[in-house]
Amino acid sequence: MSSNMIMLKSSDGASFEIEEAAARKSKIIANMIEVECVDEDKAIPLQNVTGNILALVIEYCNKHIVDDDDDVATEEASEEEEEAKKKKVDDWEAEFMNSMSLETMFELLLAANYLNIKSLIDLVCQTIANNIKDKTPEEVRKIFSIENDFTPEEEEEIRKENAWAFG
Amino acid sequence: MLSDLPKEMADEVLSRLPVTSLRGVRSTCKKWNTLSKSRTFTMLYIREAKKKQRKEFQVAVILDCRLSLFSVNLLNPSIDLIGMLLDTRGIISTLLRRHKVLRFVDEPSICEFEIYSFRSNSWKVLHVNPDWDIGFFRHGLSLGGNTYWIAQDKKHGTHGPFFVLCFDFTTEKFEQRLPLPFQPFGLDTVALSSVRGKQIAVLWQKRSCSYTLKIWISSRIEPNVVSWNKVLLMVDMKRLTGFPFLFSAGSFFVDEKKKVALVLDKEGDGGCTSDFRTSTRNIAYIIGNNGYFKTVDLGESRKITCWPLGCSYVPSSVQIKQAAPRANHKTA
Repeated sequence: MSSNMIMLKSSDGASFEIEEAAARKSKIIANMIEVECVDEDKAIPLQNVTGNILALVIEYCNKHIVDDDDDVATEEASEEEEEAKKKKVDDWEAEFMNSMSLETMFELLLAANYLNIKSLIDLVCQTIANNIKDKTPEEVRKIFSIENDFTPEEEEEIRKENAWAFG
Repeated sequence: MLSDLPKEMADEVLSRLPVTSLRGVRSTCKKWNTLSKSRTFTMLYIREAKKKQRKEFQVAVILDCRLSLFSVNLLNPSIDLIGMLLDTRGIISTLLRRHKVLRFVDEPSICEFEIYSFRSNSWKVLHVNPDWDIGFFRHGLSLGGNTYWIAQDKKHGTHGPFFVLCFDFTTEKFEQRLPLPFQPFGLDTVALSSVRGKQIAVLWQKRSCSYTLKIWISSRIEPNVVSWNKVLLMVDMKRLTGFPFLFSAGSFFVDEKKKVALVLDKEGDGGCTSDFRTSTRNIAYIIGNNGYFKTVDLGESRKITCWPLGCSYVPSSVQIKQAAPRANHKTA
């Protein structure tokens, strides 16, 4: 495994050093490396990602590159070991997501989408969904600062339309 | 905020919500209501639900004439209630394929077959002259857009040979008789189920002797072709329950890898003795190899004549056009 380091530069000018293997979690960066448009002395500019969000992305990538290595090494791992390892990653991810505000989650989601990191998109989407799933529409509107744009008549119509839905 | 995210990202987030949260999503704002009914969202939603199915799958169970959604896990056997349907009209949008319904009655005094198409919004008479009989208590199994039943030869009454019969919704015809991997007698318990929406499974339990329960899974199933794998599960139920499942109950789900089945019925020997009023609870029986046996209480049964019926559930957030003659009626 190569431990080449590459530089990433955020939209607000902060530079980060990251292992190439970790950076390859991003399909976009991996592509750039493939077609050799990465100059070793120059940082890759990421115009849509601010420094504080990029730091989170890098933290995530660093954590997960180790896990991917483990997978290759212990292909014969028993079911219990697999479970235990998965739990460890799940716990780390839960804590990682727990430490940030909803606002940050949205920015992180946009960054993960821009950088094309599938597993991070999954993680952030699922966390945001978990924040909504047991809330009433009223609570959801409050959390996400959404305006209720239904008239009382429309609201009643929606209620009727969804009378068949599981609840 | 979520309402400011590009549509594809908002879709990604909302598609990860459990089906019980969709009602809330639609009442949040106009944008989410529209989004949750869009085709791309529906495709995403089904994709996410399928991902989760590897470990856990959702089933629709009718308990006392009320439809409930359960989550079933056969790898780590369990069954949990997810939600309850307010209005049974939902069955239509979950159980239908290709938006057609077949209804029929086949009795000595009356024999009528009709097919309803949501596209034409009308019933059409089918001309069928059956030489087979599908017992009134038999539940059809929908798989791949077609429906399969356990049927018997009409000439011989309840002693006639059993087979599988398929109604092909494309050709709108009943196909030829398909063989079963066994030959049951009159009131043996025989039920069909599907495996990951791809194969059919059949459960057979003898009503006499050891109440041996056997389950087979097909290796190929099409409206006019079936081939069966060798028996997947064979369990002597005399030691476990001491009674056979009721001939009209016994709807089940099976996992082919773990060789575990979940069978729905009531408690006790409800199906066996004439006084079935003694069985007051709905029970899920989880049965595996090497004596693995577990029961889960699904609650009190309020109707003595109702037995639980389980169907695999296909998540759908599409509301099918219904016969509501309103000028501004919208369909998703």
